[in-house]
Amino acid sequence: MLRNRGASIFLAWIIVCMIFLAVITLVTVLLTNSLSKQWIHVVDNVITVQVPEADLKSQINDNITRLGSTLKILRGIPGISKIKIFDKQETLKLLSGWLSESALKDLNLPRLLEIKLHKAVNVPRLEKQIKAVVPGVSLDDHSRWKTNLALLITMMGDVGWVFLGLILIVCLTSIIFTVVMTISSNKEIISLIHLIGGGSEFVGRICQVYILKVTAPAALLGTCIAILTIFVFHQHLHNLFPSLVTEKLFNGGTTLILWDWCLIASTPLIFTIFSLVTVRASVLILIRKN
Amino acid sequence: MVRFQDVEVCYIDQKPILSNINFEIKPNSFHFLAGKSGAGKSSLLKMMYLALAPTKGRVDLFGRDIKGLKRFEVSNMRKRIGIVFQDFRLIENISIRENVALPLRIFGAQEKVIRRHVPELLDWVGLGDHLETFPAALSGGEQQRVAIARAVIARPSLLLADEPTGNVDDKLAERLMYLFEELHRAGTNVVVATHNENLINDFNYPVLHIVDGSLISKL
Repeated sequence: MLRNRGASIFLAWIIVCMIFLAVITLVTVLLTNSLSKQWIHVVDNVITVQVPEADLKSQINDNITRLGSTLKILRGIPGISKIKIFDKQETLKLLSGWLSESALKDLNLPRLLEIKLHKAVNVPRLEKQIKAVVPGVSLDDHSRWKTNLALLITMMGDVGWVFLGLILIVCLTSIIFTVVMTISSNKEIISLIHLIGGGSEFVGRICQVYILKVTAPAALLGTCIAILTIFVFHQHLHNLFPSLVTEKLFNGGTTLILWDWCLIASTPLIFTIFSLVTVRASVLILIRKN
Repeated sequence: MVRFQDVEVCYIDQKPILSNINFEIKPNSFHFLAGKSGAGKSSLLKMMYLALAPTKGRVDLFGRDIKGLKRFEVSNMRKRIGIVFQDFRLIENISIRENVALPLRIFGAQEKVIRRHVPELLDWVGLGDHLETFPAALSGGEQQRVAIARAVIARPSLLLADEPTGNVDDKLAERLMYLFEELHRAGTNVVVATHNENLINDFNYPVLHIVDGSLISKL
């Protein structure tokens, strides 16, 4: 019944683009959040011990190496469930991504121990205890790294939500603009409806149906394009880095949970509800003003 | 039904277009509203369908003063009035079926009621074969009949027709008048604004005659 073809096409394309951006942003926020949780879980309850000059004799006991003394103390600590000793090759492999082979050759690398805890251990006290026997040993419970990562993730999440908020504002502004245009270009029809006895509620309902017919398919299309883009991106990522954690993304892994997928799928629905409320409010305000 | 008491209408800084209007339309009546073009017939009708407020005086509609009516009360009152506009005011981008169904949709009628009543009424005005036709494809007289069908579909208590025969030939004008008479016999109060003296002479109903913004009643 209402006519405003130009504004409808404009609104439809704005919504396709904005919903696309919204879904991509949402996926990025959810993925970052989920990956950070996984990484923190991996390093939680793990202590890394560095023993420099591990093969030299201990200062206290000539029959045992510095590594042996460290292990002896660690094995006597309650709360430690597993100790993994990295040999030189494993340590070199860990560093190979960061330093060149020639640089690594000249380095006097410490021996690394990875300790898994099953209950809390006082790390500074343990470090002090080991250092008394094996000077130069250092213990790292990754707390500083975890704090920094958590801060970074929170910041990224906040930026993502702000971005989503801005996208929503752009969409709703476009809808208000279209409603204003539609009402002004259909003044005669709206005036006729009023004269026949239709109240603002009826006009609001007509406008809602009109906007719904434009926004719902556009929102759905934007979501589909975004999901398709994520799949293509994932496929490329998988080909480039097969071992990357994102390979779990679409294989029932833990990176994106069902709830996350529900949230992504409901983006067009949430948006449509927002747009219908906006249409109703703006129609009522406009009609009362006139 | 309708009562005007000392009603005056004027726009800002202009002389009154209607002054000292006094009349009453009792239930079950049929009136002509006569006068030359620009005499003020449309303004008088506008007050009756609450599109224009009097500058002075009082207008009562269905026993209530129209001044100070709330928005929803205006809507409710308009639901009891059917209007046939001089320029038809049909919605161009919907079929005549949908045009005629509009009042029923506004009143929240069920779809099955709409599906039954609209074709019946379009049959009654002789357009039963044009349900899906768009207004632009109809002649002036056919559009006028669609406008009448839309005005009466919700069975209004008061039917206001502004120059309903202005765009049709004498034969069709007579046919439209028979439609109004039929509605009147079914209990609708009818006010037909016209400048067609022949029509007024052919049908013996009371005439509210407007001359230079003043009303001269003729029984």
